[in-house]
Amino acid sequence: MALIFRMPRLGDMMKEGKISHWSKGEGQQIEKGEFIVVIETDKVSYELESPESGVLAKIIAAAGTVVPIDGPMAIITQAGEEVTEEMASQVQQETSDESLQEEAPRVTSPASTTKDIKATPLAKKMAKELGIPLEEIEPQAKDGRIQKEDVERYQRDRGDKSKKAEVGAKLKKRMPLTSMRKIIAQRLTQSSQQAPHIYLTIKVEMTKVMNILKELNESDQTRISVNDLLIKIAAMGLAEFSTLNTSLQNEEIVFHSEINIGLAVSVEAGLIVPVIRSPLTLSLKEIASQRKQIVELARDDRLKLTDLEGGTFTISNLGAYGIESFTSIINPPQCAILSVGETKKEPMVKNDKVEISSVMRMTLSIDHRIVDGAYGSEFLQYMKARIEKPFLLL
Amino acid sequence: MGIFCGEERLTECYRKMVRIRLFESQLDRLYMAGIVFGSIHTSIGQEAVAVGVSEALEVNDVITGGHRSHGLCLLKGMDMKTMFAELCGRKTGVCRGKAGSMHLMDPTKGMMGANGIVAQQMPIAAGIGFAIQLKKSGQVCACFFGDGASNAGVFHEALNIASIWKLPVVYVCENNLYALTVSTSTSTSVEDIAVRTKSYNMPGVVVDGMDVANVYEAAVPAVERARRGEGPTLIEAKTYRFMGHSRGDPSFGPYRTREEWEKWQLRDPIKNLEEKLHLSQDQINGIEKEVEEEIQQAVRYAEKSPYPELSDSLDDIYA
Amino acid sequence: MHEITYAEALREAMREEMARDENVIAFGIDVVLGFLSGVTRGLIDEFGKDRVRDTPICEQSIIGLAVGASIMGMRPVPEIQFNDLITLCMDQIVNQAAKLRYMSGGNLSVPVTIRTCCGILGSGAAQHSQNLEAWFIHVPGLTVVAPSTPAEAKGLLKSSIRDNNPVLFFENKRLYTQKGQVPDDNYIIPLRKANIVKSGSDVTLISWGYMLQEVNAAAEFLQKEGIEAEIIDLRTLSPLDKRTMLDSVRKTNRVVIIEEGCRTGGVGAEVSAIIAEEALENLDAPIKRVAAMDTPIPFSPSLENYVLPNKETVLKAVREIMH
Repeated sequence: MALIFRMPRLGDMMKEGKISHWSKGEGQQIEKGEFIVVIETDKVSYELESPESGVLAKIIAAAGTVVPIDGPMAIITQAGEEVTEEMASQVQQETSDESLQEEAPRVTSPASTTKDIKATPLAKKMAKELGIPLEEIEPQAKDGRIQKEDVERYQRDRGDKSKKAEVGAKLKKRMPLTSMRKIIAQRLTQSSQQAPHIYLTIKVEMTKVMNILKELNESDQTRISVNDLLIKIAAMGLAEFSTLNTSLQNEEIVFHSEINIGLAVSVEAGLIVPVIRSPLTLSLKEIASQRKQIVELARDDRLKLTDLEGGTFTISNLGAYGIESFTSIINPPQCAILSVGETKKEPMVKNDKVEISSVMRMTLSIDHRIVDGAYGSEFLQYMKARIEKPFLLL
Repeated sequence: MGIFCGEERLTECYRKMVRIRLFESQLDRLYMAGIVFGSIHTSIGQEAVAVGVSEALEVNDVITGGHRSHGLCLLKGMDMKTMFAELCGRKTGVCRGKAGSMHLMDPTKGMMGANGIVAQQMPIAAGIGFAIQLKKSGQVCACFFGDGASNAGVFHEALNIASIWKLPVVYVCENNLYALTVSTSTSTSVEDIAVRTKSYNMPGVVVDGMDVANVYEAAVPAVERARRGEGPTLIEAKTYRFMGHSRGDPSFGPYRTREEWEKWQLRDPIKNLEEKLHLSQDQINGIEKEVEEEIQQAVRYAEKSPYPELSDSLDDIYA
Repeated sequence: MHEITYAEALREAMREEMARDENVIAFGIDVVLGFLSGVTRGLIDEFGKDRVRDTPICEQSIIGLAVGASIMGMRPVPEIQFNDLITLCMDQIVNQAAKLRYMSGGNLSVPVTIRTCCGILGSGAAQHSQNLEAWFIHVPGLTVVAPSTPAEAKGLLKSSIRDNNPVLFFENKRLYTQKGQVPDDNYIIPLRKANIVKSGSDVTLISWGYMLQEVNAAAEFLQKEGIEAEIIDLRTLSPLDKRTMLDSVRKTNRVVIIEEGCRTGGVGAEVSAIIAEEALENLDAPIKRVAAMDTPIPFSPSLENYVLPNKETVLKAVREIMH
């Protein structure tokens, strides 16, 4: 029985997905569970499995097409079966109803071939010899015919450009924003424009906690990192200071029922924030294990949409990059984000004496519409206390 | 008192006529065998005119003619071998295979050219006469053309100018009653073309073109007059071609009646001269055999000759 | 150098050649008085009535006489008074003069120089104002010459007379009274070789005969606009000096061909075809032809002027291809 392979809902927030590419071609045999298509959402790429075994009879949504949830992507038939007229017309109706915008450049009119471009024989010869595609040359003549001087001008400019490239930084060619980057750009812009940020930095003495972690990790396979600890402590702090675990919606502060901490992970495509759910209820080991898993998935581009949804607070750690401290832009619609710097040895004054200690700086960005500096500061004090005196966690 | 064509001369004339006729006949056979190409216009039947006039000329005198000029070429002493070779389109031809039948020429022998365009040899002959006059070389130019030419514009232009400038040209009109398929009775405003010379203030005579002596007897004074610088003469020789206009045109049928043809056959100049001279069959055979041998030798030469190089086509366009 | 008219220069050429070679003879209609152009005027006094003759009006035979005389060793210079009348002697030119050498297998030469004149007279109307040189470039065996100045005319006529080929020598009516500097010495200008009148790098202007006047005037204008034209006087229209014209186009990348005759099937068409065939990749603009409109030449002066090419039409054509 033929079926229409439809765009699945890969996350609560998902409205549509873009076909990145088909891994199987039209007319090819496919197995149930075999990965046949890659979908891109604003958060992640997702490889979809075939729901049935059979033949990928017809690809309805080609690469680059944006398909709304439940929209038809392909028709899968059984071997020997043909696509019924009924099904074909149904698909047609559906696809014409929805406005399927192709984000890929329109292929309706072919790109102008060299034949269509007007150029004098001399200009054509010169361009060919210099390896310049005629499409790139701008004709000055009123009749639009490329002439020798146009080719010469292009060559001069090209020479100038390459000289600049030699002198300055290497000029990269243009690169369009990927959908992920687009979304990141969009959200961060929105966030920094709408939410008035204030930044609170605190220094934390890490010596004790580093020693404990070292001891723990010697005996245990699961390596517990600073991040895991921070996730736990942040969650505890958010339980106390619940106004930081909120979102502003139409002049209403919405208190979230869950505390889900997102950890910012840098991947090739950009920044993604997979979420550790309810770390309050988890042990450090469990947090560590989850954290490891989602970071790996993130780096392999195998995160599900659900892994990214539901975060209420974000931690970003650039310590590994040697950053002393930094500020982050709040991940909307969250209220706050914690930026963690590197832990390194520094002289500190203790009891009027200078001592070498491991010091780490954390900066809390808060949405001043929801909370004030004092409140945020108290939260930070809470966290600092527990980091410096880990026995408080027990 | 006229000129008398003596027996010795007549015998010579006979031989010359036979030579022309057998040459033409051979040519006809070669054409049918596909060895000779193009348009071949034979003068079988008209031999007496060419021979009669040429007898009156001297070796240094020159001739031009129209498309029916094989006989003229032979009479000017052109080499039969290279003539056949030319007609067979060979490299060894007198014109290197570039001319063919209608443009045969050998200036070294005074044959200044057959011409493929009707009547155009007439002003050229006047020009030749003009040069002779300026050079004072004492030569005469004989220009042969047909009844068809006598109606062309340049006929009138040429006679007029030859007359006023007193050019040393003898214009010989071979009136064989037909210009291709058009008879003189339907195309020519006068019965005797020679009458037209009155318009050009020059002498014109009508002769029996089937009688070599008659032709000769008119040619001599004309040539002498020209040589004296007194100007041109037109000799109209009434004659008849025994074959069609050119190969592919039957001797009679489409536009000539069999009766007419047969009537003229009775006036065959060669046969009549045989009688006049009381030639025996042996004598006739002897002469024919001799001529035939010469012809066959020439044909063999032609057949063995190579064709021109393709690049020869680009030679001699410019001097 | 001495300054004389184009007609006087031609007469000097005739005199010098007739003095040099007793086989050179001149004849035609009104040749003794040299009535129209004055070129042959006075020659009879010097060379006698045998060598300088008037003929009746019989153009075909005028050339026939020349052909016949030339194959007997003379060097005739017949005159066809207007090139429009050359239609009357086409057979002798095309079928006889052009081909006798070829058909004789090289045994005959036809060293005839047919002098004629082309171009407008000033309301000469359709049958006396044509430029027919294009017809003859289509006949292998003929050499076609068209001089542009007095000095050119003298040198080229002398060469034509000395040349062993039949030459069609197209003098131009409007040039007969034009004055120019002519060298004093006995000089000839070779046939089959074009002349670079002016060097330039921006556009090649190819022309001959009268139109060089208009081209020169246009080039001066262009120079003020910063455009340096290279002017080529073809001199011999057949066989063409391909080398000179192609070298020029390869240098300037732009070409305009200017002729007084009408456009369709003119000499410019042949020149254009050669350039397109052999220098296509050097062209930075389409080949342009400037010529008379495809009409018979009208009688009324304003109309006559309108259909003919001139400095303005040359400038327009050049500007269309210069950007």
